Amino acid sequence: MNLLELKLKKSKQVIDEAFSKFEKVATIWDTGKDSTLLLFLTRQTDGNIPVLFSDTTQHFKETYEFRDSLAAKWNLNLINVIPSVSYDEVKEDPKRCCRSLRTLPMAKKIRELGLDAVFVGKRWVEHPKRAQENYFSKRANCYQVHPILHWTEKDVSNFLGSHKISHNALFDKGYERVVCEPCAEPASSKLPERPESQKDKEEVMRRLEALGYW
Amino acid sequence: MGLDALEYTLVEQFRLTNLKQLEYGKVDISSFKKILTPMIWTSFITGLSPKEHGVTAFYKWDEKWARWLRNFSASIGLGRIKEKGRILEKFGLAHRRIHEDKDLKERGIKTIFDYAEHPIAFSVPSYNEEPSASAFHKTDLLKGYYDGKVTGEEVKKRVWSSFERRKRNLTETLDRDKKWDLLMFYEHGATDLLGHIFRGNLTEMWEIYVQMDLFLKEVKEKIGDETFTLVVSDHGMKPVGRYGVHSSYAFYSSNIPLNLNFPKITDFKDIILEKLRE
Repeated sequence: MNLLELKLKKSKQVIDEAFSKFEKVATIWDTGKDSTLLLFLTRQTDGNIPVLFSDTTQHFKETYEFRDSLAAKWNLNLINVIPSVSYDEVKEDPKRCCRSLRTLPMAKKIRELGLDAVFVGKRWVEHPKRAQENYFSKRANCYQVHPILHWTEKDVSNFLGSHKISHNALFDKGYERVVCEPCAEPASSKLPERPESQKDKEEVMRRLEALGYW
Repeated sequence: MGLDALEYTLVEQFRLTNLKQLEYGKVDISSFKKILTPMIWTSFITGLSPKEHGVTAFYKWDEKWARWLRNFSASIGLGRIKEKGRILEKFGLAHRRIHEDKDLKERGIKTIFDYAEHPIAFSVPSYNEEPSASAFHKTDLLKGYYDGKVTGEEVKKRVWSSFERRKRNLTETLDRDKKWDLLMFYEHGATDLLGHIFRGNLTEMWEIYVQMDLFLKEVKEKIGDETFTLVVSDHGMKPVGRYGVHSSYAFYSSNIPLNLNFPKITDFKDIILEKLRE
């Protein structure tokens, strides 16, 4: 079994465990590559799983087009999560904007649906904060389940490519992730998944030297 | 199975059921002033503290030169021997080597292997460690990585190639030899060396740990559930940015209930001897 097969096996174990543990589950899909992979995997167990899409009203047209085309192709049980405030009301403050258009409406919808758990496509190497995440993570309202934590960006692309799963056209235009149009950043601003730090390296070398390593 | 630097929190976070076995937990190594591989493993196989077994560094100076260096150092009124020894080593006048079983025997110290009728040890520190697989010799590779002379991918390639060779050796031995009553397999490169390089990258660590988890599963399939299987590390590995340094506790797991609560690394000797007697 190669590494990608091992990773897939682990993801399926986590998904199966979540389905057996929780009665009401849904998957969060933002049309990005990670959540599309997760959607593909969760649908292998339950083809009718509720799919929560956070419709901030500010997505690129490519995102809406991909959402609609895949929803039709895979016959998704799609739930558009729509905010109760308009973009114009919150656009001056990016943090408030994100919270009002994305985070709060999603939390409200999860409560309304009475979900026990939601699948989220987080990966450990995306950000140092995500390195703390576990496969099953208890939140205020319900559990977050992260079946693809251990995948790399390359693993995700390879898997989607080998299974001929289409992707959001934003990626073909140089965007590295799916974001709302007003906050879109050029691809070159993305941080590497494994940043190096000379300071960290020196610290480790100092400690090892103190132990007599060299 | 001795897996150097196997980190408790990662086994937990990765939910590695084979490594966890029936009972698992942290091991207390707080009595060690330095968290140093040969020192702690010697305590594991002897049940003694470093002061009692005498292994307190990665290496041992060749006795003849060590004696000469000590005398020389004392005669000219200089202090510690370590740095001067290294200077003489550069000129070929002194050399260091890994600790061996004979060093313990000279001090009249017994290891767990002395109590078994038919023991097998695969590169166990301070007992019969393969020089090329030893922590002492691997530090050169690690230094090469930090100095930018060797890439992480190259280190990985060398570590896995060595691991695969040793794994084959173990498998062949298990197929051939059914008489053994105590067997210890020790791995340093995959868990410790790669941990120092990749600890901050959990995907890399997952890839390493899942291989160890599957390895243990394969071994257990060969030796059977009825064989007492103990997995132990000498310390863990905590992240410093992208890299890793030793954490201040170790890991253990057992396939039978031992009912241990934060045991000391030296506690395992008596447990092993008790199982040998049974």
